[in-house]
Amino acid sequence: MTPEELALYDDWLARRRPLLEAKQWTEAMRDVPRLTDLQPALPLRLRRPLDETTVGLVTSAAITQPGQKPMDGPNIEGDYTIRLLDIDTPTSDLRIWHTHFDLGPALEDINVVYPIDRLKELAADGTIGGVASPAVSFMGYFTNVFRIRDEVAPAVVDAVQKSGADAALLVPV
Amino acid sequence: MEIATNRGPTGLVMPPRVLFTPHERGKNLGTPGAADLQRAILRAALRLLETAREPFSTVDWQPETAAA
Repeated sequence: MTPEELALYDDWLARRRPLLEAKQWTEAMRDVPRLTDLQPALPLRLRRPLDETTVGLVTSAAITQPGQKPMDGPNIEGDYTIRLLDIDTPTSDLRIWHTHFDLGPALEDINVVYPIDRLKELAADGTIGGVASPAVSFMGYFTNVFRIRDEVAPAVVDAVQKSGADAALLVPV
Repeated sequence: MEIATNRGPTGLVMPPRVLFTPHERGKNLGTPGAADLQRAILRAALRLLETAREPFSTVDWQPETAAA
């Protein structure tokens, strides 16, 4: 984060903190600092056929598995850490810490935001070559996009690459 | 690739491949327990790995998408 970006963010946070603390997210985020220099990303061709491709799963639902530190769902600025999820962890053992969407459907069936069971079924039937482990989890609510760019995104990319995935599936919430 | 419900933030990021589903936030893959639907959505998203060529390639999911 450049000094200019930090100043921009700190100024915004000082002005919008009351709205954030009042949980008026939409109003608070209306003028949140954004990245303005992004370009549309070009798809890279698969290195091997889909049925030989290992797919990594990335969720922004702030999911943890047993033994991991909870994610900071209540923090008005968000959480800028990631968790690595063993794909064989029973879904009934997973916890969701995101506090900015209706968790009801995901608590009933986590596959609606973290389709790990379905992806493993597609590996079993030969649609894809396999599912990379670990999967990667972070929290999709955040106020500081510069920290996402500088901390979270590189950590996610590094984890996906180390998992051996040929391609990544992100389910953003 | 992404399976997304919210066009606003996704349009700001412009990822390489996106399947938009017509569901509420927090139900990207649709109805809880609807395994057939969830697999169909996944297959449609995975198909983008083989077919998408243009930057920020997007497809709107619908049942016909799965059958295509």
